[in-house]
Amino acid sequence: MLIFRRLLFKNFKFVYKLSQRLRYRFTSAGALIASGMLASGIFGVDIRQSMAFQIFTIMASLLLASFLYSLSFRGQFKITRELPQFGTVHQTMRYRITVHNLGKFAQNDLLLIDDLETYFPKHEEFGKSRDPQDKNRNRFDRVIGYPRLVALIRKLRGGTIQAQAVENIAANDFMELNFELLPSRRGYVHFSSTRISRPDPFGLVRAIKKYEQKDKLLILPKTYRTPKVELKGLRKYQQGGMTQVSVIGDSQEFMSLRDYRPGDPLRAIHWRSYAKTGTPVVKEFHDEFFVRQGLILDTFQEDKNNVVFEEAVSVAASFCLTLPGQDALLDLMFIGDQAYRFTSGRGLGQSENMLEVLACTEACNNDSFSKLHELIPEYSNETSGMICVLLDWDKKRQELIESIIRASIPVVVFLIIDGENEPNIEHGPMENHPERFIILPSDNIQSSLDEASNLSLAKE
Amino acid sequence: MNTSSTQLHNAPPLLMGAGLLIWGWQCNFLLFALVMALLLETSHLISWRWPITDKEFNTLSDFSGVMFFIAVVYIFTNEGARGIYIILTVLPFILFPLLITQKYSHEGTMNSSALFPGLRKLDSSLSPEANSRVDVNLPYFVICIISASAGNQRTMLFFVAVCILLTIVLWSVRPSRYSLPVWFITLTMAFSIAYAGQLGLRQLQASIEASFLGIFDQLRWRYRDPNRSTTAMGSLGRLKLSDRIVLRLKTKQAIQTPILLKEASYNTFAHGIWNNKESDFTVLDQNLDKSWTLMDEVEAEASVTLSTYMVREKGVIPLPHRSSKIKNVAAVEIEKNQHGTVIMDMREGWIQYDVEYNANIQKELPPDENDLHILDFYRADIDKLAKQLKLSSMTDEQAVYTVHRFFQDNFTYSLNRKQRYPRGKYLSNFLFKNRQGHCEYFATATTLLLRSAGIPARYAIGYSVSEYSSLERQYIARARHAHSWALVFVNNKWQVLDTTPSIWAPHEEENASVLEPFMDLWAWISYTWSRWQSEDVVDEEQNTGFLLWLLIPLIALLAWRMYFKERIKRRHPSSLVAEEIAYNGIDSSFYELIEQIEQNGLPRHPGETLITWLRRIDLRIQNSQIETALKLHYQYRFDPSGLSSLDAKELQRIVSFLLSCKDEWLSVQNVA
Repeated sequence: MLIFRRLLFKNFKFVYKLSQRLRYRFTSAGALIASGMLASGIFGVDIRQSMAFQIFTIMASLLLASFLYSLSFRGQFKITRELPQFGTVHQTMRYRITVHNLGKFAQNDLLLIDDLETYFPKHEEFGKSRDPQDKNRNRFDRVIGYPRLVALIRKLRGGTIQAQAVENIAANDFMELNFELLPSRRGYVHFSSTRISRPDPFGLVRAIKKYEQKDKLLILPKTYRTPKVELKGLRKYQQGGMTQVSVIGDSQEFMSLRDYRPGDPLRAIHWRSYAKTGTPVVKEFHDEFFVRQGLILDTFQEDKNNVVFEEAVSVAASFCLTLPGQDALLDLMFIGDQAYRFTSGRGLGQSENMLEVLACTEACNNDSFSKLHELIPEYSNETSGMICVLLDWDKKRQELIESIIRASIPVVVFLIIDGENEPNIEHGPMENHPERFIILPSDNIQSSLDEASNLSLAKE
Repeated sequence: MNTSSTQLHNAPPLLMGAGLLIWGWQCNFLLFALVMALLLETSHLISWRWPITDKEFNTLSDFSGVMFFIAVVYIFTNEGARGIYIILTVLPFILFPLLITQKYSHEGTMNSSALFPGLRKLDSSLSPEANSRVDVNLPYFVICIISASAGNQRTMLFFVAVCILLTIVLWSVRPSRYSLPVWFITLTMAFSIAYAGQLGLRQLQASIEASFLGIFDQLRWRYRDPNRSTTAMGSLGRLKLSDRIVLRLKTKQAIQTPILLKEASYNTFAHGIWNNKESDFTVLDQNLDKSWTLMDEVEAEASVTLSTYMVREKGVIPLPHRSSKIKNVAAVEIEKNQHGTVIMDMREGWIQYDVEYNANIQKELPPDENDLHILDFYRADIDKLAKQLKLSSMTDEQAVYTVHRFFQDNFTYSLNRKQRYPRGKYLSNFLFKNRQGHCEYFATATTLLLRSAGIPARYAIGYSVSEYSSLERQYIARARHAHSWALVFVNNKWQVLDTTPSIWAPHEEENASVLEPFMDLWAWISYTWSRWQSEDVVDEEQNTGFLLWLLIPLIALLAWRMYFKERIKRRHPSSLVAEEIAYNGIDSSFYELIEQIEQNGLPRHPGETLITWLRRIDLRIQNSQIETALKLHYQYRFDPSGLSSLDAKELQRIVSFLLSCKDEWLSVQNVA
């Protein structure tokens, strides 16, 4: 059975590539004539039974002439693509392509096709992938799986771009064309090449010139309106002050001046006093106490293209935009190939940086949940409150929440569930704070978040 | 990549009509085509268009699908493989409702899910193809010209007409970057190549047929000539006969020895060919009980039910030896010659008939001089052998027995012929040298040998039936069970004398294909289907019409898809809409007020807004109150944030107040 599946998969690859090539090559009219040729060829096999063989020869001759024409395309062009910094998933974004006609003749009736890199998944990836559309397909499609493969390739490619017509471009002239990309997933989308195609005299087959144009564009996750989360946490002493928190930067709260001691940083020297006294004097700053919130994103998911995981990333991204407050920091923690902790707020990093990190976060299917567990005691002394965005409510996740509560850190849990499943979930360690245990069905995130906003989380 | 910016162009005016007319002309549907073309082309002149929803297109497409399915089943069962061209011919009829609906719809196109049911349930945000629109005009045009080709009117005008129509299509999609001369020259070249190509195809088919037809010959049904049979005697190599089931036989009791079913007998042999001198077929009269008598005044001893495949409408049918009556068959005509060969005129395909026979007939038609004739070419060899066997000194019975023993004891059965002999010498070689051969050698040699002894004999061909099919619960004969034997006239009766060693049947089995069981199953299904759909099947046989029942769930499924499923779906959106409206303030108390005013003879006109209506009827006294309430009502109805609790209470209060004193202000209005 496995051999059969692998064989089928190889055939899919061939069929997909062939269909893509044909789609590039044939215009709609060309595809119609080619289909007509195929049909008349089948019905015309026995030339005594019908006259379909005559239609076959006519259509075949037209396509042959068109194909021969398409073999040469002497135009010369220079293509420049200008991309914005970011895009947002499922939101159409515009960018510009400039076409320079370097040839001696004017060109018209061209079609400009901008391509995203097509990544063909491995058999294992295909086997593990799930497509939400599968439930709407017939049994044959579900079992054979070709539409699922096409959907996966489409998702991996990251978006669709509508081809644009170049009606007329004079010799040594240029034309700017506005393209629209509709990203279908977050993360980087890779642009591979731009093709200029020219039809033959019958408008059936295209001659194509391909220009390699590698580019990449970051697509950020979508965000939601989030409830105001005011945790009961205290301002906590941050060892090393802002300098340690941020690596770059300094505390703003000046306390006093004192004599220089070996080891003091040069930048702490108060130069004016040094000039007056002749001995080095350094500035001393207050210890840092401020609110530092943690945002834990659960990444442990078998299926990398799972809707629930995508929604979890979106919810986390939404909190990154609204948190921290003016005088607070936000630590984003998750597990990828290792444990990650990113901090933003108080001039450390912009929330855009957080979104960038989240845009590239991938589901992690190895068994390293314990790494997330280890992060808690490490930062418990300096964390004022914790927001956890979880994908499941199993034993190990409940233990994680329990350990946070034990560390006296107030916690809010957002549990993302599959929209189709009934939310019949026990609160477990969150039993004492049911208002802080919020279930978000994947198909109804915004309204569930809106409902949560009516809860007064800050009141204890 | 998405190149859908290059959508299929609209069909140029009059193109569709022209396509339909060519189809009508070629397939003899000119009148229908004319009406259809008029309906289509009128759409360019009139601007009436109807709003057709995607669901209605889906239903129409399903309807066309069902029509197509019914046409396929009906035409295939009636016409067999030839039906494919008839289906092609009627295709424009089947698809026309879909096209004409699209033509007169507001959109002018249809959702691709109408044509591909698999797309109907898909979420268009995830699968953009589920929401793409298609124009079926040009595809329909292509179908029209391919359907026209099935009319098979062998005229070059068809080629010219197709070229002209395709030129119109190509003109409509012509890119403007090419000059007219370039376009015309390229087009002319393409059509010239096409013309040469179609001539080449004709020649190619002719040469293929000449070279390879022989290969397919054995897969075809053989037509039996009642007056001539060419034997394979003298052929080199191994005789290959197919496993195809050609005959079916049902008996009341199990048969102990193989039954020989004779198709024809011949009396003259020359150079490998048996034929009949003087074969006169006479038409038999049908009896009152719709049976045909082959031999008069003969009591039936036994009867069998036979099924055979007729290659043509009229042909030789196999019968048991000494058949006396044929019955239970809706034959047009039955003829019989003096050698007992029977031709039935009925129809092509599988036919079934009952035969009565009697092995103990006292008297039969006597032989004539042809039954003793031996061609001079063979006489020396045959007489020599007859002399060796001393046949002339024996009685007829003894001679027959001796010949039978001679072949059984001294000859072996073989389908393989490795050595070429001089023309005409293969029979003498069979008799005197290698003494190996297949049934035709044995039957021919036996016939000639007995004739040499003065005993009238004939050469008979047909089938030897002994294989019982547990699947079909009847006996079957395959093409490789074809057999030949001698008929010898002894004791005033024509008796069967089969001298071929009985090993021949197992020997033939070796030729059986490994796929035979599967082929048999398919043969049985197609036989049952073909029997069921034929009109001449008698009532009791129609018990096998169980296949009809297979259609019932299919039709039920289609009905469910087309009707019930749609109805259930319809219910869902309506409930959703109800919820949505409830959410948007459908429970507003202001509606009670509206109802009261309307009941008092001040109805709202269709499409009239509330504010226009209230201003029109001018309620005077309570106008300010009502306008406040209306404002709150509108806010409740259309403001996404709805009403605050205070405002809701205010609305409720005003409405309650107005309702409590409605008699007062409504009566004032009525008086006014």
